[in-house]
Amino acid sequence: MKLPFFTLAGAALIGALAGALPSNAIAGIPLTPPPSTAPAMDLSVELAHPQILAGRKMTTYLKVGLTGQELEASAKRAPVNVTIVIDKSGSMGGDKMIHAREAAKQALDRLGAGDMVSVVAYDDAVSLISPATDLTDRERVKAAIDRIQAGGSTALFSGISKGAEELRRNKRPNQVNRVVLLSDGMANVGPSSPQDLGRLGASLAKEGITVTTLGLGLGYNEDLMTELALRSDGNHAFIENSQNLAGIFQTEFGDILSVVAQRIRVRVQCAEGVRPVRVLGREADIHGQDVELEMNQIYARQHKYLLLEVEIPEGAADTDAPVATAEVTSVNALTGAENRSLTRSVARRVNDPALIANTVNKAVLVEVARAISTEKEALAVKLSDEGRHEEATKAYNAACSWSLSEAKRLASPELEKLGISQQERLQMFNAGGVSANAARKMSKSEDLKNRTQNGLSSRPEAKK
Amino acid sequence: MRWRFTILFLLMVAVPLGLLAWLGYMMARQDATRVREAWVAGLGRRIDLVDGGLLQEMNRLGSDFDSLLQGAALDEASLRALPREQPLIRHAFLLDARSRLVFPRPASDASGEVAAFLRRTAPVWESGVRFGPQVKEAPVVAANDQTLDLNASSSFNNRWATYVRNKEGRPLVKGDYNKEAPAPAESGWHVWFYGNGAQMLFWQQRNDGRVVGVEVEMAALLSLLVNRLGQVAASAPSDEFWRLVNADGAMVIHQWGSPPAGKPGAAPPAVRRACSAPLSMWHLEAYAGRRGVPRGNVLPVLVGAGAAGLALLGLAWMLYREGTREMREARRRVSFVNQVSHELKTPLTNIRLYAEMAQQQAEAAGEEAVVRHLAVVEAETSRLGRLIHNVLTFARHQRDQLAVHPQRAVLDDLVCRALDLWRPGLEAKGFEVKTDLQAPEPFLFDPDAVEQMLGNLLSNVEKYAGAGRWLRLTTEDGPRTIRLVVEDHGPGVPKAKKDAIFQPFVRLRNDLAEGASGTGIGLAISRQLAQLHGGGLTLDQTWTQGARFVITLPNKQS
Repeated sequence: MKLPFFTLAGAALIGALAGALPSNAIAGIPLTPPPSTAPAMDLSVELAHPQILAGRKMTTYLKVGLTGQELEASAKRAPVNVTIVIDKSGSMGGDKMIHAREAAKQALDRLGAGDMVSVVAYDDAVSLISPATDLTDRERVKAAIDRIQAGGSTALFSGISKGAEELRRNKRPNQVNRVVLLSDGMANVGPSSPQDLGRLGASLAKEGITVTTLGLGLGYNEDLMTELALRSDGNHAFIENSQNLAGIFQTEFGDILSVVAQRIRVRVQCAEGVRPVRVLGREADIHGQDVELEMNQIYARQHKYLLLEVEIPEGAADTDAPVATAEVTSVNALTGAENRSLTRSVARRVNDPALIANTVNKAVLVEVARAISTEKEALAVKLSDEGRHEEATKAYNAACSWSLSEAKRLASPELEKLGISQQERLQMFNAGGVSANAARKMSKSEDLKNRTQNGLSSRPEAKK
Repeated sequence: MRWRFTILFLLMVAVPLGLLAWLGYMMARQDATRVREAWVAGLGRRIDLVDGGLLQEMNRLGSDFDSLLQGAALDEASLRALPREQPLIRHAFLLDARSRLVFPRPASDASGEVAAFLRRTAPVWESGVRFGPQVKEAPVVAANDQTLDLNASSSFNNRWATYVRNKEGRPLVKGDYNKEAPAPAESGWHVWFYGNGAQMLFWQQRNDGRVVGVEVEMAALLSLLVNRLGQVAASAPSDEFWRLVNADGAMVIHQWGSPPAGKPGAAPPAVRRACSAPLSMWHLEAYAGRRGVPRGNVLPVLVGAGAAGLALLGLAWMLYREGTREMREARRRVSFVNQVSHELKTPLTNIRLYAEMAQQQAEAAGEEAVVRHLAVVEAETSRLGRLIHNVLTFARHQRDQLAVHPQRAVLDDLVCRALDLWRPGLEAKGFEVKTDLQAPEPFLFDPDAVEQMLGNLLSNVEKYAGAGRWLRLTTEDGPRTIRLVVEDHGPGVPKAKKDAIFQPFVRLRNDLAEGASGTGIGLAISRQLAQLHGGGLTLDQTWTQGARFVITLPNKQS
């Protein structure tokens, strides 16, 4: 499904598990046998340091990983309920609108019987281009899309609201609900702060509605668009050239059609004495020993994870330190059956630092390094927003050198790639003007991808 | 003559046209005012409908929250689960009987959502408001700003209002009778300001005095209301523009309809109203749409006024054409007569010349009868000459070319000379001719013109006063004026015609029996000639025995 990165990461993980780890150092012990129906996704609970130093308080990272299973080529898929929300403000005129119409129409061709689609457009006010309908009359919907003309300002909030309303009209359990928003501008009518749109996204996520935001050109408000996608567990893409729209729509619809599980709730219960310090990248609720995180869906072959920094209390050597129990509930997108799996994570206290070094789970550390690098880059963006240009450059440099040094230490080509892309963005940032604007949009898009593992490549041809 | 006609004509056309235009304008203006008033009234009614729709939605939401909270367990896990499952709930809270926050417990080390909630709601707890029936007078039960007129200040941060929900179907009998089914709990909304806008709580008081409540997810509430407004928008007239704005108008929450041509909000709204509680912090505004304020149908007025104006113009044009045609016609006739008269002059002179010669020969030959016949020919010829002279004079007058050429002469001589010419004819008709000539002094006048005037008067006497057989010619010399009076004992001029006789082509008797005895221009041109001298020709009304005409000439010496 997604970027090759995730597949590679998965392979590296399996390799690490099979080879590097001693057989007695079992990081994850499944407690419940798999249900009779094949689960839609695999759960893995890993510690960055499965073996920790005895006699000391130790801090390590717990990763709860979820991997969506491959969809069989012939298998049925979950019906989808999609709203395409198109910004038809004045700036969308010309090629942009032509490409948007083509992309939307091509995307419709991927839907089939049982799927619902509606089309909403907005400028000063919102207008319903095509009400929610099944695709028995595909041509009528396409003709309606063809009639969208650009002009006016941007009532993004109303557009999303109307899109969600159309989804609710046909909401059925066991269905993938998605708003695909395409905009090239700012929201200037209705609530338009990133916080407001983020709250709307969070509220829609509770209804099982995901919002994917596609930012076109250099004029859109990336904070608002990424916040909306982040809070609703949707995808986001920065599309510099409208010619790539068709590819992006295909990727997005590919994702929508490959949802394998929905309403995923991850609950990590830390063992007594273990302190959950913080969750990296994602915004999870921590209260007491409990950490809770919700995701709207997972796509086939997608790898999503929760990274939790934990503090393990000291203990005698050669004792097991129970770390946490991870409980994941989800709804199989195809069957509607609820799956629940429970995995316990235990660390082993040892005295030998060499053994600890040997058993380090590099795959987890790579994700941790990625999360930290993302945080550093976000700090650089924040500093730049505050007008502290020099500090921002410094922070950007810090992010790059962190990524590259970690890439070397962990021998991770993925981190190296991240570091190089950060360097590119740093150069663009320093060039200022339009290029800095593009760099900021790329940063935001990358940030979302690294934090939620959701993202669409703006260069679909690079995917193959 | 010409310009008088033009002025008359212009007045006849321009005044009614102006009047018509003014009337049309007034009617159109009145109509526009009426239409605008009706439009504003319609907007007012629709604002009520829209507001009613929002209120209905809030009531529905209130009922839902009420039943949700009534059934909710108050332990931490349940309260934490509420916002996780409900899109419209951002956070839940619980106050003990003494209005102290027990969930989420205010702790300095709170983090994440809890800390954010405590930050947001700090103004609520600090305001010291107590949610419960003690704040009962609906709709605003307690507020530090009764009107919640948030326009008044740019800073909202310390403003709030609490509303008790008006519940319908509340049992009338409370207390012991209803122990089994507890009375519906008191509940309501609380509005305060934090961050970039209004925030809302929904609270419900339990029977034990505890208050359970939820913080409304404002973005979701807005989304809900926006969709509700979307349904309203579908049924709204197309040429209106509506906005739901926050109190200071800085943020447009939703807008629909056709936006006006300019920047929306540039013109003041036609109607603006605060929403009903608990949404009083927002305002509904209605504007004219792209086509502007409806102006009423001016077409009938325009068409009516236009048609009337056109008819008037057409009529005026026809009249003008008719008028000018008649004038052209008259000018053509005059010019024709003028030409004919000119042509007649030469043969007439020849006739007169040869008649005189023949008369002298006849006298020499002593043929009495021939002499008498030739005298008649001569008299008739001079009559014809006068006629032609009059016609030519009139034609000159018509072309504004009539002028007098004064020269020093003696009036009495002129009168004697003229009378010598006339006397035979008059005496032949039995007239007794008397003279009383008292103007022997020379002065400046045009002898030809005076002779023409006198000729005309004498000709009239000969023609009309034959019955009186009496004529007197008098001249009077004065220091300033010299008068020439012609009197007869004829039938005179009736009083009613005393002015008309001086108009051209007016004759006292128009009957055919009289024959072609005159052209009706003699008196007119005589008066004209006298006036050109600076004098006049008048009919003396005091003379009752016949007609008495008086020519007055100024005694000009240089």
